This record gives sequence, C-alpha cells and structure tokens, in this order.
Amino acid sequence: MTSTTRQGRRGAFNAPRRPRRFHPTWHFWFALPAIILVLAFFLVPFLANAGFAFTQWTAYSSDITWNGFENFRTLADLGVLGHAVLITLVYAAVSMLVQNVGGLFLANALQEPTRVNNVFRAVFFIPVLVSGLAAGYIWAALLAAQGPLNQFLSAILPGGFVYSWLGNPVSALVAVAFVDAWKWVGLAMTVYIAGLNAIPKQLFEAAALDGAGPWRRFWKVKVPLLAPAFSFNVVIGIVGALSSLDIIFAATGGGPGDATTVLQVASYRQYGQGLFGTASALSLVIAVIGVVIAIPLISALRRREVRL
Amino acid sequence: MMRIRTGGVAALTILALGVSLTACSAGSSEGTDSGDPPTGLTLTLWHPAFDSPELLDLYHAWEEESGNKLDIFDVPPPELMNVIQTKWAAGEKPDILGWLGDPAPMLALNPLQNLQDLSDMTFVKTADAVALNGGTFDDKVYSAQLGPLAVTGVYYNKKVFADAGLEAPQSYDDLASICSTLLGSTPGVTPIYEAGTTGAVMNLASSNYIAESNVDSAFSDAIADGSEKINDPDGPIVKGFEAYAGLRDQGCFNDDATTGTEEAQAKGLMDGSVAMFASDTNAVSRLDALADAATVDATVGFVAVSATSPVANSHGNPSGTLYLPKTGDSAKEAAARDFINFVTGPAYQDYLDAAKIIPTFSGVTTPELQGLMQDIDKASTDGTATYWVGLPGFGGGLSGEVQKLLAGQSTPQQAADSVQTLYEQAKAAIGE
Repeated sequence: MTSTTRQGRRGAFNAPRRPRRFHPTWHFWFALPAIILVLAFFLVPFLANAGFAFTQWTAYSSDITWNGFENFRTLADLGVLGHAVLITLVYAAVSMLVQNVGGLFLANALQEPTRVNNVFRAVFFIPVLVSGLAAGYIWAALLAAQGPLNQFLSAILPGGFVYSWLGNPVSALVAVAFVDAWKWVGLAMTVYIAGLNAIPKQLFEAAALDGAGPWRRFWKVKVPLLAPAFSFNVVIGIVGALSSLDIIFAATGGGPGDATTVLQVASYRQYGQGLFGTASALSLVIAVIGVVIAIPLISALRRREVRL
Repeated sequence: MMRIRTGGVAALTILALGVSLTACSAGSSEGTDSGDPPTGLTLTLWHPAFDSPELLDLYHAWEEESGNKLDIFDVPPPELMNVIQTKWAAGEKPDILGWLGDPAPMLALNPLQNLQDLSDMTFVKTADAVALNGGTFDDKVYSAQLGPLAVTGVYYNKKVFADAGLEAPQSYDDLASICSTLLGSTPGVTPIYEAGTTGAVMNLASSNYIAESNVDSAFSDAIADGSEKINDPDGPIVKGFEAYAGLRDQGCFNDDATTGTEEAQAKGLMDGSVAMFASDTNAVSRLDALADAATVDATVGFVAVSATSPVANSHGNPSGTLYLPKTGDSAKEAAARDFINFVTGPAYQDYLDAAKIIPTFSGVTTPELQGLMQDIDKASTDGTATYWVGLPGFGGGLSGEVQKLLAGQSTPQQAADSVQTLYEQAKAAIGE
C-alpha cells in the first residue's frame, strides 16, 4: 500500500502537467436527496423539538414563549419525569436482556441451515414483521385475567389460576418488556446466526481437539467472536426499547396507574392534554438518554471487539 | 394567527414542519345566518366513532337538504382527545367538529382564537342551561349540544339487590354498606365493577362525589376565584378520593379493576355477576347492545349517588356536541352554520324520535323513552342536576391520577395535589 502510494505520487510528479479538473459539486448532487431527507425528517424536527422543550406552548393559547427549564420543573413536580425515566430504563434493560439471551439461544439452536431450522427461523422472525400495536393487543388478550394463558395454567395447576398479569404494576412492566423482546428476538437471532456462521469451523475443531467441551467452546470461542453481533444487538435493543410506544400503548396504555408509563407514553399523554411544551421536553429527555447510553456503550463494545 | 413572542421561537416554529401557521389563520367570516346558505360544497366533519346511527342519519339528512356533502372522519373513542389535539396542533381543522362537551376540553381548543362564536344562532334561545353552560366561555357560546347530556350515577342489577334485600344507594356510605352486605352474602358477585383502563374511573372517584358540592357550580366557582383549592384536605376532591380508596380497600371492586373495561362492566351487570357500576348516560347503549330494551329495563336500574345525598351530575356528551372551527373559508363557515341550524332546528324532532333520547332543547316533544333512560331523566330532575367541574386541566389529568389511585400508586392527598398542579399548569397556559 505504501509503495503503491509512493509510486503513484512519483508518477504524478513525473507526468506531463495537465490542467487539473475538479468537479466539486458533482458528488454533492448524488448526496443531495439523502441530505434533504435527513434535514427535513430528522435534523429539523429534532432541533425544533429541542427548542420547543424550553417554551410554554399549549393548546390553550396561540402564544409560544420561552420559559427556560419550567417544563422540566413542572414534570418533576408532577412526579412524571423521574418516574418515566426509571420505568423507561427498567423496560429497556429487561427487553434488551431477554431479547439477547433469547436471540443467542435461538441462534445456537437454529444455526445449521436445515429445512426444519429454516422453518423455525421464519417462525421466530414473523413477530418482527407484526405491527407493534397488533402485538400489544394480542398479548393483552393472551395475558388477560380470564385469558388463554391463565386458562392453560388453570388446567395444569391444582386449584386453578387467576392472576391479572397486566393489572399488577411489577408484572405489567415485566410483561410488556417481554412482549417487546418477543417481537424483536427474531432480529437478534438472525444477527447472531450471521455472526456464528462467520466464525471459522476450524476454531471449534481445534478447541475440541484440545479437550474443550461444548459449554467451554461456547464461552471461550463463540461468545468472544460474536462481539460485533453482540454490539449491534445490544445497542439496537436498548435504543429501540427507549423509544418504544406502540406495544405498551396497546397492551396497557401506560397502566396500571402509571406503572408502564415510559417516556414516550408520558409524552403522548402530555400532548393529548394540549401541553405541547412539556411533551417536547419529554421527547428531548428520550433523545438525551439515547445519546448518553448509546455513545459510551458503542465505544466500550467497539474497544472490546478490538481487544478480542 | 398563532403569535410568537420571540425571534428564536419564531425560527423554531418555521422549522417545525408539523406546525402549519397558515392553517391557524384568521379571516373567519364569523358570519350571520342571513342570506341563502351556500350549496355544492364539501365540508369535513370529525366526530367520535361511537356516534349513534340515528345521529349519522341526521347529518346525512342535512346533505340531502342542503345539496352539500360531508366528508366524515371517524375518531376512535379511546384516542378522541389525542387524535383531535394532534391534528389541531398541526394546524388541521375540520369545518365541523364533534368534541367533548365540557368547558375544560373546550378551552384546550383555544376557542377565542379558533372557534366560531355561535351566540347569535337560533338554537341558543331554546338550549338547556346545562348544555349551554358546557359550551360557553367568556359569555360566548361555542357549541351546540344535541344531547342527551351525560348524567353520571350508579347502574345496579335489580335482581341482585332484591335477592340480597338491598335498596338502591343514595350516598357513599350506602355504597360501602351495600358492598359489605354483598361481600358477606353473595361472594360470587362483584359489588362494584371499575373499568380502570378508561376515564370512566372519574365517575365514582370524583364526578359523583362532588356533585352535591357543586350545585350551581359552587365548588368550581370557589376553585376559580381561589377561595378553595382542589387539594384542600377537607375539600370534596380529597374526600371523594378517600371514599374511593376506602371502597377499593374494602374489596368492593373487581380483582382486575385496573385492567377492567366498560364492555366487561356492562356484560357483568346484565348477567348478574356484577351488582353495580358508576357511569354516565352512554352506558345505556352498551347495555342495549347485549339485550333488547325491555330486558335491559327489567334487569338494570339507575340512581343518582353523591357524597351524602342523591344528586346527579350532568355534563356535556362527546356524542352530538358540535363546534365550528374558524377555517378562513367564509363559504364553508356559512354552510357549517347552516348545518347547525338544520340539526338543531327542523330535523331535531325526527332525530329525537328515532334515537329516543332526552332532548337538550325546549319546544320539542320528548319521545317515549326506554325505562332505563326514564330513570336517568328522573335522577337528573329529582336531584339537582349539577354541572361537572369545568376547570382547565381537569379532564385527562384527573383520570390519570384516579387510575394511579386505583392501582394503589398514590394516596388520595397525593392524587389531589397532582390535580391541583395540573390545574395551575393549565391556568398559567391560558394566561390567568
């Protein structure tokens, strides 16, 4: 590479001088549609939302005025801000964890491209294609106090079983996080399968010859070499869960009470009450949390990949 | 026109693609009803999807009469407020809007700026006082309410009560006593079914309880002039919340109260597995969907219940409450006023006769009402029908706080404190 560069430079130096022709705008025109789309649908709304977070903007008045951190103060006074941040983080952590453990398990089970495995891969990927609202409504029906899950449990447990899974604050939060994980586990599985297939088989054979059992081969060979897939799945899982709305909205509406009121739901409720400034403030919090979590996480995971 | 006070915010507003300033433009005709109404136009109408077929027939009758067309957009009921507010905030407005019939949600539309003043229209002269009050702000009328008004009270299963030797309740002490009896004598029956997924939880926790404190708007006026606060420890809001939490702790509610639905509520009352639930007039249609009217009348009764006496609470009904947004198109605004004249005037009696509802205008003949509807009519006239507290910030925020109270996530005082904060937040937004 170095010699090629040197030769190239030398060649250029010795060649007859020709007028240099630059087309500074030539590449720009190809990028322009993408730039416009990003500006119009990401940057401008994001900046506008960030600005509106510091304004008094409500349906009650036509005036929009700066009010500093008043929206955040009001949300804190109402107990909405701290609670929604906590619920969002718990929800994202549970969802990401279940999604990755489940995805890794399925990837190991279905790694070989046999006909049966291909069928099951498709089956586990279907929820990814299902709309979040549909998933939420379906699971709300399955988890209802008199729903199919409890009927099944009643059939196999002595004395019957009645429990409102979405009626208890703790089980409701865990349940909706599981539903989110269920919906996206197929994607994590696909990424892990790709990662597993990229690992040379000779490494497993060598480890087996050295006397490593299946469990040891998994932890010492597979898991370290899956680092890139792991980075992708963890970051996408967390960031996706941070902005989750549809599943929770359909399954619990943020309830019982505010037990599953993540930031997106809280923002939606503020918006529905005509309190657009506070809704923008909550949206800004989501963006800030996403950045604060994602950047150090990506950085740490990438460093780990390099070390491995 | 949306006014922006600082240049920075102005820039942000221009950046925000979703906020269309042009759609907020004034230039409304604020027209009178003189002259021939325009014809050959297409008007947009947003309305709650639960509007009755009879109401839709009334709307379609205007199409035939006027030669205009209606482009009707159905808004799903659970998201009525969010959907309309979202579209409204983005600058989108219909020519005719079916919206909640109380002052609090009306204020969220910024009526002075965005709605046509209907004060000079004919219907105002014959409108029921409660219906008129629901659409009035700053001495201007902004809505026409076709009715029926939503009267809140308690629905009960007559057979369950008869078998247990119980009388219909009149007060919250009665509710607690009846609950205690039923829990002891008929363990298979849920004394009170709460639909915790809906805003209907406000009925038992607040609307019914404060009715007797709010006769002639006494309580809401006291809040508005600052002589009382929502979160006064001895005030009716906190006391109502305490009574509600007491019923919850007594085990009066269904096990799945926090996830309960209005459909399950109605079904349980009809089949006798539920003894009571608190709701408004609109529950009749849910009950009627399960059986014929005669069976419903034989099975279910309705009574007014307030803190210590049977005072009914009336408020505007989201079904059939119509507003006319200022759109800047004077022809369409005039056609929309013609629509209001039609549905509140010559066609109103036909609508009443078809829908069999309690009218909200004088000078018409009340149709023969279903027995249960007669109970509701009686409850609202025997007891002093009082108006729901029409304070800003009191709608969606209150139901959210009651849902937390129901789930045991807040105390009555904490819930009332939050409602007070929401009220102050909305008041500041209005500029009061």
